[in-house]
Amino acid sequence: MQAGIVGCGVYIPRLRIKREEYQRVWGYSSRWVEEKSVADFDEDSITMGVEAASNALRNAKVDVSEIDAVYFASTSPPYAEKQNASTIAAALGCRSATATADITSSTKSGASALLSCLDFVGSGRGRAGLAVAADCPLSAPTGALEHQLGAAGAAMIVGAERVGGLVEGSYSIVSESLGERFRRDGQSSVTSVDLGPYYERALEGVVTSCVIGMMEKSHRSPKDYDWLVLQGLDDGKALELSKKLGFEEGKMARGMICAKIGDVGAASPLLGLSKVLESALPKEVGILCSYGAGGGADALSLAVEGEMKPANGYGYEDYLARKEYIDYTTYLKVRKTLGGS
Amino acid sequence: MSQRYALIGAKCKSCGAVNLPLGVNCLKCGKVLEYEPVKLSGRGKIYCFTTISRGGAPPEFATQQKLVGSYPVAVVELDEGPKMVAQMIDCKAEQLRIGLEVESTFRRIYEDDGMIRYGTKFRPARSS
Amino acid sequence: MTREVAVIGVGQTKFGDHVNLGADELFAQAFREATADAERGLDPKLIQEAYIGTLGVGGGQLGNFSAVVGDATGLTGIPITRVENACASSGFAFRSAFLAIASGICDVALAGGIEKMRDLPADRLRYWLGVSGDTEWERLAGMTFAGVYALMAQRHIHQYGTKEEQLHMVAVKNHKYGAENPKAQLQRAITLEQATKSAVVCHPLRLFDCCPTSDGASAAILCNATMAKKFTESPVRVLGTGAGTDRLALFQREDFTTLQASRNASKQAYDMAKVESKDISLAEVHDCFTIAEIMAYEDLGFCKRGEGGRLIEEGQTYIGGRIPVNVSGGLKAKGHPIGATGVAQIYEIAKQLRGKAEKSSRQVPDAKFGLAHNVGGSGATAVVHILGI
Repeated sequence: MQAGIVGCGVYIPRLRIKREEYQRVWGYSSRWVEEKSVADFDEDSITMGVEAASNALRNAKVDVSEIDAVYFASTSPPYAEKQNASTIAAALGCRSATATADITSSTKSGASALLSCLDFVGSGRGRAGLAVAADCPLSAPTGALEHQLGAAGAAMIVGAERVGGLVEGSYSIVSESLGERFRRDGQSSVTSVDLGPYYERALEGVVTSCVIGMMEKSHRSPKDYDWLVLQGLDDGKALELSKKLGFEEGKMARGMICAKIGDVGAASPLLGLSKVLESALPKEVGILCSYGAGGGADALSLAVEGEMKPANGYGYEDYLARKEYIDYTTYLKVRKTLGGS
Repeated sequence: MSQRYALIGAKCKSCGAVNLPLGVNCLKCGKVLEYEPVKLSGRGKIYCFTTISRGGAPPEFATQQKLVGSYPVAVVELDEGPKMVAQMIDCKAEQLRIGLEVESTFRRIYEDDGMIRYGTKFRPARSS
Repeated sequence: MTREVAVIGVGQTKFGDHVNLGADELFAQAFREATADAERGLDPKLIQEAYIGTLGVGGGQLGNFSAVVGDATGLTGIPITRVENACASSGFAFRSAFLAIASGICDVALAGGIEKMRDLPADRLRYWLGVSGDTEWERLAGMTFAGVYALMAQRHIHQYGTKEEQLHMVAVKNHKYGAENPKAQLQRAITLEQATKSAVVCHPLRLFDCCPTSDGASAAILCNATMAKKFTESPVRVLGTGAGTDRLALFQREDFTTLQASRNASKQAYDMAKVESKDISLAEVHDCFTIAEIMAYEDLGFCKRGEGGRLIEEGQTYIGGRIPVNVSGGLKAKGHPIGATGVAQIYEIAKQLRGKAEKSSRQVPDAKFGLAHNVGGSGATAVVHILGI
């Protein structure tokens, strides 16, 4: 059974902090994050996931009773043990006969959740599933990673009927490496051993082989594609990488999110994809490729069959526009509540 | 939990009134509540509101009060009928007024013995 | 057929800080004053039943508080019952004592109240201040007790055009009388400007619109009216009692600007006493927050619905006005040890009807009928007594 994306929804928190604030406080800042989103004291990856999923259902006009599975992806789940997907299912009003699972511990989890839903529907286990990815990773204020880390959620409804984005196929890479970006059990801050160039080569190597693998499997070349969505880690690096792969800048730009939102971890692949799909037209073809440091990458090849426009006021641009700037002190206050969660 | 999380009300089979929270008897007709569950839209209007300030917050909200200072709480009259108490978010003090249209959102409310208590808060409804 | 009941002695400690006194010692003080108040002599052994109202906020003893009362008063051995209806606890204790005598079960009974609130850390106190509303759907949404009354105030303003200033006028009046009451916790008069400019607690309620937390105890001795003159030359007759309830959660009530419990309670009491609101010479009403006093004016029939603000603004509830209210200082200035308030209101009414108010400047001239109005929590319970001399 061929399954695909029926609809998508996003959530971006209202609070934002500008690069100028980081510059003011620390004297340095991440060069490609103009501003980023911040989860408020009463938000976490579950609450953001719930709103994104609720928006997906609304945008696609799907009733929650049609959902047979909820897969949740995050590197910052509030519970290390106690399934987070269950809270999301309860908040949406899912029926009790719903399959659920959490996929955590890597920024590539968002795409993994999508693939799991595709397997769920494609194998006939259920009619439709929700892949919900939300993240608000934390890092130590003085660390190299901290400035870029943002917060957001995105959700995709996967089904076999009324498919807007048919998934033609996928290609996955596993890649073991250490130190690039990790967080031990019991720690609340994600950290990096900071061997910049070494990691850049690792990322480039993994993403390149994954995208190339996907194209070969689909018998296509870069010019056949209308867009490319890569894990949102560094817009500058992503553009360089896409150019090396042979994609024109415009094709990469459609799915870039970091400049205004930051690095949203596991939510990134689905958020970038949602941004593209909201305005994608039938006959377009694209690739999504996630990346997880010390993990690997998953690529999906999609063919757009129908429009997936969001309901009025519920799209990516609407959430992006709805913002309130905070200063660094407020940022710290609001973050304290998230510490260890 | 479904009442708190997903705003699932109980529609009285006798008189049709929507009850939230679930009580023993229907709030409207007083009969023992036999009901069918109904998912509420989350839309409503502010019936009245106030701000909790001056360190008076219940102990579960003491940390929140330290972080954000005073916070607004409202009685929201949901479109389907029942009223509920919830905090207001994403709005400036000047925006708050009786009659303001609001929409629900899922947020952390407080923590209790290490468990996170989630629930509903409201924000001004987006214009659609 | 029920018998007539009279109050023969009343006692009340000063309300405020009694950190050095345990709950038992505090109650013992009020009890001793009440027995001594029956000036023709009352042997405590004659007391056959006792009812004590307390929420149990502080003081360290949660269960079986009746035994503490027995120990404190030397009444150990007789039936003692603890009554809890939040802030209306001792009002209901008084009602229970009345019913015991009226029914013929006993001839002499004690009703009292006690609360210690000042011996708790801030956290625990805030916890207790929130328990008298709906815990699950009000408190755990972040609502507080003051917040609930703030909502009533906002609706009253919205529905009737009541002015915020009129709320503060209630505080000014009650502080004026509190300053003249040696037993009041707050004995400092305030100006309208001070009240209006004070810090916001829960909009629209400001600092002076809210009663303080207090330690205190009160006691009243009741007996079969036919034997009252044995104990005192001026027994005060309990002419009527009435009580009522409302939904626990404010948000589940039809109208936030009136307390069904108060209306039901006062109607019952007026009917039993065969008097009307216009016959009342003075009233002690439950002003935990100033809006509660304005609503009480309306619920008790002292003015029409919505006109409570006008009544205070016109000065009608001062001595010399149509219906003096809370000339003790009310909960606002006298203080509000939760369990003790109900019987403390009886204390004031009894003193006033006998012409024995502390400080003659607070004495209501020719007081004939007095009304005590005691409410639990945000209005879930209420009890009204009408006394006469």
